[in-house]
Amino acid sequence: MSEKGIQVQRLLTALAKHGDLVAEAFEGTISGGDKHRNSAIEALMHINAIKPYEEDRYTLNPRLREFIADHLSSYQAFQALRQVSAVMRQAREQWNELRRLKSTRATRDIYKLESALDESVVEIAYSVDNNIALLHSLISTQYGNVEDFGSKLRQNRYYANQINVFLRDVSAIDALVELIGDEATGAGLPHIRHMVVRRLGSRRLQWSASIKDAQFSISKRLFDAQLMEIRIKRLSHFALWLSKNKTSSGWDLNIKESVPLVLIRPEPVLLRPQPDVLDSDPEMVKSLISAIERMPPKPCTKKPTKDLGPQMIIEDDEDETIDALDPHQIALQQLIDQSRNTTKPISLLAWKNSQELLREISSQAWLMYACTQLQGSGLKLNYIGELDLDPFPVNEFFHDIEVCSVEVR
Amino acid sequence: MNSKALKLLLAGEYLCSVRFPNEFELLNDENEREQINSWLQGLGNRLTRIGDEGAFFMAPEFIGAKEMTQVKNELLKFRDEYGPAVTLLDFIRQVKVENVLLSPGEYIQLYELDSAVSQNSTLEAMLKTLLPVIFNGAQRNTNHENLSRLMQHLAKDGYLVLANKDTGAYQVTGKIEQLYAVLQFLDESQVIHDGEFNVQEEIQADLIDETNFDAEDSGVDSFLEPVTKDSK
Repeated sequence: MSEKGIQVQRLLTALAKHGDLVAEAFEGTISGGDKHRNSAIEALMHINAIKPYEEDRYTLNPRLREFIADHLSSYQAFQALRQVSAVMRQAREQWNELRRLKSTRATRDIYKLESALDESVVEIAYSVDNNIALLHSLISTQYGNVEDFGSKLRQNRYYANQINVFLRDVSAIDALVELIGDEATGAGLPHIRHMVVRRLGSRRLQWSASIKDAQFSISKRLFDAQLMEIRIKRLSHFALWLSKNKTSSGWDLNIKESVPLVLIRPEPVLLRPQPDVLDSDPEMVKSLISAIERMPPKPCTKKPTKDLGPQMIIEDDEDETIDALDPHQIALQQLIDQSRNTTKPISLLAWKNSQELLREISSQAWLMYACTQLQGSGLKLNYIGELDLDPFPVNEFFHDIEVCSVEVR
Repeated sequence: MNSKALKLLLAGEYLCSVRFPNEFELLNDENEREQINSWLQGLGNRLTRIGDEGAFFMAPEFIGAKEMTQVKNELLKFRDEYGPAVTLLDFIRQVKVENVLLSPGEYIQLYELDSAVSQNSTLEAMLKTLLPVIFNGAQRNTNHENLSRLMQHLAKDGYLVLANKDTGAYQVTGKIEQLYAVLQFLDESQVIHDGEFNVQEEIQADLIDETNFDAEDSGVDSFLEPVTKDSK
């Protein structure tokens, strides 16, 4: 291993040995303490990993912080995008010198310049990649490095402007690649052309696309945020109006057909599932059975009988109510009694006419009533009517009925 | 056709990606939308959504006298119809102060509100003035209980959804955009004449500031211009 390599190894060993302090310094400044801590700080100071900040306070080397932040994708608020214009100028000068050396055939220095130009090109590519990573990180976390909404908005605006500058840098890279490529072909250094085209030229389109995506996201997010800010303002204004105008209910506005559809809140449409019980599909039957099984048991409608204990029925003859008989019932009873006491037939019509109780009843109604009632009394009824000449009589005509006590067997 | 999505629409729900993620995903499919639309059209309704990417909901096929009267009455009774949501959401805005967006999907932690109210007597007093608005809010309750009921009230109205019962985390739903649309309509109708409430002026001022900021600070085209334009 070369001397330079050994030095790098020692440096990294020292950093690793005091990694806890480096991590602490990444979060903020560190200060001395016990003997062991003080010696560790001294060792880190020796390799320039930390720098004095205030009295007994030390801060991490900004370059080291940047390296760690890149690795962790941890970015400061309003962290500027890396400017590649300075490195491009450096690469341009290195290229000019390389061409000059080539023309003077100074071979040894050519290799050094080629190596330096290669490093510059790598640095340009790294810076662009890093800037894109930074933008993606900030956009995806909604500028999570700050809490304040206003700061988020201001960061959004800041990066929107930074991106425009960044896009110009990428265009300048393209111009540099074209220039070096053309001149390298003329100068007989095709491998230089190959190097810049491979490392920068071929990635230029991809970079531009990524940057424009980020630019679009930032613009959209800013617009959304702006919109949201307006919404929040509106919300607060109407809440304030509600608190200030406690007696007002709302506004009587002239609503037209052009009213935004979103203002019409949907009115619920009530649904009542109605299964088709006649559907013989096995699945349907199965579903119906399972639905019935899920139903709660039918509530019992029969009320439980109360045990009232032993009961006694008290009959009171005096209080027994006797239904009052109607005049025709009384008359009928008298007719039955009279018929049973005599063997002579009694004409119902004649008997009716002799009774005061039946004066209000028509003869027809009396005959119809009496004949049906007397049929069950055991008395004989003779229907007195005219001779029916009809060979197939349907109705039996009569104008009186005689009743006698001979029982019908 | 997804029957659950249809039932929710018929029940008057707003199907957003926060509250009904599965149904919302389904409705993003054009065939599904067509099928549901044909069903709704039989009832004189149609499927629509808030904005281009907002929640789906059921709307009338045509705006007639009934719908216009409905909107008119709701705005006439704004305090009862939208007032509680406006007041309670604005309270959350004031408690969370800087980093609140009240946009669909945003999380609101009950413990954050609780902590802020317990540390600020002004907020505590404000919460007490809201008790008549909060469903089941009461003076005898602790601040935590009243805040919890405030969140439940908004969840019942469909503006929030309980995302994690254990941590008391709520999420803002897509329905809130309907409320914003109503407020925008009222704002455009200039129902509030007081100069200090003129949001439109503030919007203009913001946009002017934006343009000036871009022009002064960067000297490049405004990023609000189409992004496809090459910056040379």
